[in-house]
Amino acid sequence: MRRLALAVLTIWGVATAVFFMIKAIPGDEAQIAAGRTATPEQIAQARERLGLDHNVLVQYGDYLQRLLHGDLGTSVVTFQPIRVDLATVLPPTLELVALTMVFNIAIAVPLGVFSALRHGRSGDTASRLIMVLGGGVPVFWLALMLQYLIGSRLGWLPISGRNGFGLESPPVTGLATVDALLAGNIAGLWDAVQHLILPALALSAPFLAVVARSIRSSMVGALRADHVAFARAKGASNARIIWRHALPNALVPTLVLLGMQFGWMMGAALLVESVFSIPGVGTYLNTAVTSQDTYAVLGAVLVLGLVFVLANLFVDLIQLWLDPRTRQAVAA
Amino acid sequence: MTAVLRVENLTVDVGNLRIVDGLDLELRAGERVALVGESGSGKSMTARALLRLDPSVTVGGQVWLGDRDLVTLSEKQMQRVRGTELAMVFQDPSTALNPLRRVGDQVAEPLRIRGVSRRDARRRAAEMLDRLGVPRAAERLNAYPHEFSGGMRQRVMLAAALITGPRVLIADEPTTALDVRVQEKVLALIEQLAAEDGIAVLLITHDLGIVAGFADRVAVMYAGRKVEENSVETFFAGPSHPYGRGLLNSVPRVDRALTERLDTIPGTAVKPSARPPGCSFHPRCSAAVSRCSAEAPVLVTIGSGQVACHEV
Repeated sequence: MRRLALAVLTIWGVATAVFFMIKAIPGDEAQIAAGRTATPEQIAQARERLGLDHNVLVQYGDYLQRLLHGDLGTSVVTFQPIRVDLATVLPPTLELVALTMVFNIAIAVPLGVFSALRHGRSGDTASRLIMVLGGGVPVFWLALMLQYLIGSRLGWLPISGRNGFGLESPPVTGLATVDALLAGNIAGLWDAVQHLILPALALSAPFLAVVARSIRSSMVGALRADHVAFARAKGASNARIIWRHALPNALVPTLVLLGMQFGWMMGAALLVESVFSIPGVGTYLNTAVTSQDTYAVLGAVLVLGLVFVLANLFVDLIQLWLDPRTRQAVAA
Repeated sequence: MTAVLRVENLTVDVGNLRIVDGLDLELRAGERVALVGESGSGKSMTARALLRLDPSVTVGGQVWLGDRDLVTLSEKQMQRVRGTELAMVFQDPSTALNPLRRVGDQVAEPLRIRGVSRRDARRRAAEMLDRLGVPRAAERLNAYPHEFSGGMRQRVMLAAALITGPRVLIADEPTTALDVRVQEKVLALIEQLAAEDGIAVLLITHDLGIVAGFADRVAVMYAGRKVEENSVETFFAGPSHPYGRGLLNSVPRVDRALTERLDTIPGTAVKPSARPPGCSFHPRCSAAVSRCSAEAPVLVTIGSGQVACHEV
């Protein structure tokens, strides 16, 4: 319950901060909304329509009030309700981030465990080198390289968009993979996944570098723990020690990190969305910022904040399930 | 009496450092032996080396369990020995139990590893906890370690160690983390179960206070070597080695006046990296003669015991 209140507070804080930051950007919103060739009358009209003739605090109050009713406002660029805009740009990003998370975990956990088991030896050094490279390489550069090498030179995977021509499925959820599945379009599903692999791989690099390091260090600690020595004294095999006694304990601290990363990935998705021409939140937000589309920016940021908060709530739940000590602390 | 565990010329090396240097020790069936010494004397490393717990540590010499030399076994063979024939409990029950796993699973684990069914293993875990005086044992199988007190956790650890009916139990400072009254109970339990099941116990401790009431025999380690071994009676009547005497004199006693200052051994325990030539103890020894700094004394048999000192 306290977490939930905290979540609402976080969202409100994000909304407020973003609102005032946008208002602080120089430039006349009414001018932009009315268009480059607008007459002074048209600009005045736009100003009135958008409520820009009121003072900033009144605008802020109005905005919060509308927000409570679920009204995010109308975009001055697309002339659509922002809720509708977001409903079309959010699914591609969610899909991308979900697969990125899968790659993140699937690569980082084995890498971190391997590194910890080879602690101080050459295998460890090699894995740590991979981690540093993953963390240091700019995502957009890696995206371009993957696109060039695997997509263009080798031709293994498609390099842009979400679906091949003629393989689209009727949109239900907006998630290309889920829609294909719903439509029973297996070729379309495979095609949609193929389109996601390269961007997700590129996006996962900096995140998996951090996760692998976290896993490595907590795993090194866990392997030295007394309870691991005791498990060994009970006759447990090395595999049993790793999977049952060390890894679950090492995962607990990393879990929190994964929760936050989900939110960061939503924001960082822009870097690969633009390279791979995916019409996602990142691209939308980018356009909105450059055209000073206040409410579109606010809406997109709020959604990102919401995803961030939800991901963390979800992680808290997993942690409760995993760690009996926190479970008891919450019950008490 | 035949020895169940016979340690011959045990050496333990960590990197280039010799932590334990040529230790001989024998444990007969049902016997309780205390291995005492200061921190850093190598007593805990000895305990861990017998089970070959640390892969990064080099163990030399011979450790005979029956007719097998544990030092020569493969890791796989060693896994079959650990927890079935040779069991071990650790010092701190709050860190030696996995906080994320249920108590029942942790007690039953040695059986589960050997393919006992989940139901049978749980039943026997409950029985074992019950024997160790854990109240409502069957209900508490699903509890987690943090829901237990320190003394109860140590019982849980003992239950996990003893559930397979091992021949030898190595107890590494099993009561150090517990308060004094709980210490007594836990030691009494170890004594009782060891007697009932005919288990030989090697008690590693720095606390001479608990040795007198528990052990049959005492071996004293200093700087990685055994300097004295005697029956408990002989040892407490008057140890032969100056270090043993020093240890015993530094134990508070009720039959001495409170105004008397407690004796201490001058100096600090020598590190294995800076072992002096000759007898390792000579810089701190009040009875040292010139020979002590030149020549390391060998263990000689005196009466029923052994001592390594030039002056006896």
